Amino acid sequence: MVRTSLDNSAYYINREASWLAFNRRVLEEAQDENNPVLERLKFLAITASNLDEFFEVRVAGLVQQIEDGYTEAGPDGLTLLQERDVVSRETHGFVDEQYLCWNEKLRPMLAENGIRVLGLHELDAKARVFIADFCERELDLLLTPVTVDPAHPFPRVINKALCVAFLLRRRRRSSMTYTGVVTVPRALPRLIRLPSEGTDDFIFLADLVAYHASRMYHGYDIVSSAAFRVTRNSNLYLAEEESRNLLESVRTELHNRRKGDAVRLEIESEADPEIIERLRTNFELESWQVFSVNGPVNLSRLFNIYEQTEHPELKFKPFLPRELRLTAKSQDLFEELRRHDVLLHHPFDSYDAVVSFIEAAAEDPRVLSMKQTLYRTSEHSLIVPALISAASKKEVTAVVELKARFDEASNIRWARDLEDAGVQVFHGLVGLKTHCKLSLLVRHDPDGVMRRYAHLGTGNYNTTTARIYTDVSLLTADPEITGAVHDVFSFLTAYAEHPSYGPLMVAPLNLAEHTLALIAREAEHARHGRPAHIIAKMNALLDKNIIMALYRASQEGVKIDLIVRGMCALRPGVRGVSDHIRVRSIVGRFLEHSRIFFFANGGHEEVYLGSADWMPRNLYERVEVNFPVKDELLRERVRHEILESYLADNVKSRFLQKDGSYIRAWRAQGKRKPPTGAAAFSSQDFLIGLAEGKQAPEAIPVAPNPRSGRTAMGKER
Amino acid sequence: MIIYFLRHANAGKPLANLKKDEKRALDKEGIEQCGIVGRALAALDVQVDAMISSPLKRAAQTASLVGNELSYEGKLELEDALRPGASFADFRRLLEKYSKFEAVMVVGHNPSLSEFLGRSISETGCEAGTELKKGAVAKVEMERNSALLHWCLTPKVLRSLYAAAAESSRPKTSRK
Repeated sequence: MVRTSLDNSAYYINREASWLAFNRRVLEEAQDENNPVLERLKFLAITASNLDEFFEVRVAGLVQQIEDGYTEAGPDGLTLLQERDVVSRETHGFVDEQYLCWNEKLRPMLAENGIRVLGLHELDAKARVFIADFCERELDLLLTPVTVDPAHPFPRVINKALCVAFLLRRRRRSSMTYTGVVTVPRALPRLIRLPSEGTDDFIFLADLVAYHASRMYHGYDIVSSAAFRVTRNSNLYLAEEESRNLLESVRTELHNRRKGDAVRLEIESEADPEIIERLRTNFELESWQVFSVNGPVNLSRLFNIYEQTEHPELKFKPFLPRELRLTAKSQDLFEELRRHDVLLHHPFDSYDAVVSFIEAAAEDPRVLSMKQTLYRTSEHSLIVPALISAASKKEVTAVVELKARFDEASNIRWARDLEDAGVQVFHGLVGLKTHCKLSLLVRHDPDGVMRRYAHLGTGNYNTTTARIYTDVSLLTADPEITGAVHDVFSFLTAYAEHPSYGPLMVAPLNLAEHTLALIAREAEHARHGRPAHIIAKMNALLDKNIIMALYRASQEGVKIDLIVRGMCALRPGVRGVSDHIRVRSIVGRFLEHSRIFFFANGGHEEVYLGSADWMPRNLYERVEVNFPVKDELLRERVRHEILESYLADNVKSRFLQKDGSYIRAWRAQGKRKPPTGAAAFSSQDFLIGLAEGKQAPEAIPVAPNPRSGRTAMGKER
Repeated sequence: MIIYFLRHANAGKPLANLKKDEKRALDKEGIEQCGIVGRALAALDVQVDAMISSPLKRAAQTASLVGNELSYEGKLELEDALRPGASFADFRRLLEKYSKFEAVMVVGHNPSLSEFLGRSISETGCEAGTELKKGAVAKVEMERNSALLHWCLTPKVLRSLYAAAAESSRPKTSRK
């Protein structure tokens, strides 16, 4: 049989294009009339903050690489310049759609529901008095009007800070125009609530600044004004060494600050072209990096409206997560875990069980030592206080990742608090981020035996995100697993490498290798006519080696169902390459975050969970752990309740097409209209119902199959 | 804890009406001083975890302009303990409140700010003779029982320092 070479750029989807397609799916949720209007607003705000991060990190990196003269193409064959063109075209189109959604859909709909965002000209007399007073009392103090002319350098404009630019003309010498810039202080909310009866009224702070400005620039006429915002490269470049003298440090810093180069300028579309041009030149941007927007410059701030208005009828119905109940025979969680493992599917299963596992360990005098990894933990996390209180009574070790992007500052704070309390704090291994989610404790049990207990998860130890991200937790006292978790901690704190971490897969040591072997084993099963099926759920799939292994498995006839929420470089449905691969993406109320890997394995089914996506950075640049679910009942639950629900989804599920676009599951099935009533099946809604006891696992319908003649179903059965 | 003492920049002549004087804004020179001081401090790698200012306009403006140049992204804290008439005891309480931060910048007025600086670094309790010019900044490292003055720089010195450094720095690479 002649094999097509899999090293063909046509078989891979561009990473940035795939990310942008993901954000488009989030925008679809903002456009979706079946979602409550305030939730739609929240989705719109999320697309904006996602896009911010995309520019700060991805686009910044791309621009930097182009400047540095890199010419290498990625697996999809696009050169960096071509990639930049794709990004430029896609982002401009996307931003237009965002504002269309705000102006045409959400803003009018909110107004219909009594939530109004008003412009200056729409204010009534009472509101006018209020804003005049507000400007005088609160705003005036904090604003500093700066005029820029050739003699005065442009003031530094902080990353993502709201600013207002003015085109000014001197009253006396009117031949020259000047640029004025006012940075709007962060101390003030971006949306100001206006006094009103019966409605919730807001006005944008930027509008008030523009209104108040005329009083700040004495002796000038304001020709025009426009709110703008600059996004900067936010990749972290660490200063390696303390410098020795003043001048030297001045120089290094000047050099370093370039790395905070501007990558995007957003400005109101009615801005004077003169202002845009002056700003563009000042920030050294190319014209594609300028986005003129038809509305407020920072849509992510619309989230404030969601937070500041009650209106429960315009939001998702709150739900009650299922609490962990111990069987009657068990005195406490530890006894329960000696009997059997516990699997939790968050947020449907309450995260309290994980917190109380750690809290109980902190308080329990029988627990002698605790070890914990922390990647992104929340401001109100109960886990850090538990570790702090435990530190006075037992040996506590924490591996804190300082470089979790955008959380660096808060992680440094936690690390310091923990150290002060006597916790042994480690920062993981140089060059490798600690991304695995592990908690391990040693307990002197009442029967006189010392045992280890562990929590292994797919999500961060963060009680806030645990309510909105879907993740899976495993609590276990299995000596094989807990022993291996202990070895991983030794690896993290002492760089002590063990010959084997079985039954765990640990990146960067053997996770990639083992995953490839599991995929190859499935291909082998298919070749011999044994049951072969891979279901893999993750956040992103980019690793070329794994994609090639999946193509090979598909060629052998392995049925492969991928549930990839975000980026996916694998191209499904290519004849002779990926005919048996289907890629779904589920975007809905909760952020899909769990990583679940199912292998039919010739009938001896295996399920793995873990922290690692199939991306190069997870496989090679981080410490990650994927772990098996050994208990058969729990494996059944993962396969037939969790994965089956996701596969059966025909409401929030989208299928990735051969051309890289995504279409709704019902459209992929050849239907003209979305399913309604009993025919509609939303996995997340179903899982909520299951947690609340209103649904039974038997209610999961058969998974929809996209209509595609060539998806031969015979061979793998 | 490191404390940067920064006196507000030029803001013209005092006004007789105290209420109005509170709203006295920075003048053109003052705004320029803030840019110079801010950029030079940024170049010295000064990083602050909190920016704390007197609520008077000239101080708050100085704080926000210098804060911008330092890429300070937090919010500006306004504290009465930095008002012109506040006592050293008020200032100590203020430091206590922000003690969890590694580095803070306090922006205030003379004579109190110079007094706070002097008393912070003199162990005997008497006042060390220090005077902060407008826009001048001093770096003090505080420990439990001692404080050390690292440096004290005026806008004039910072300007020449910055100019010397900027001149010899390499030009921007391969820009468009």
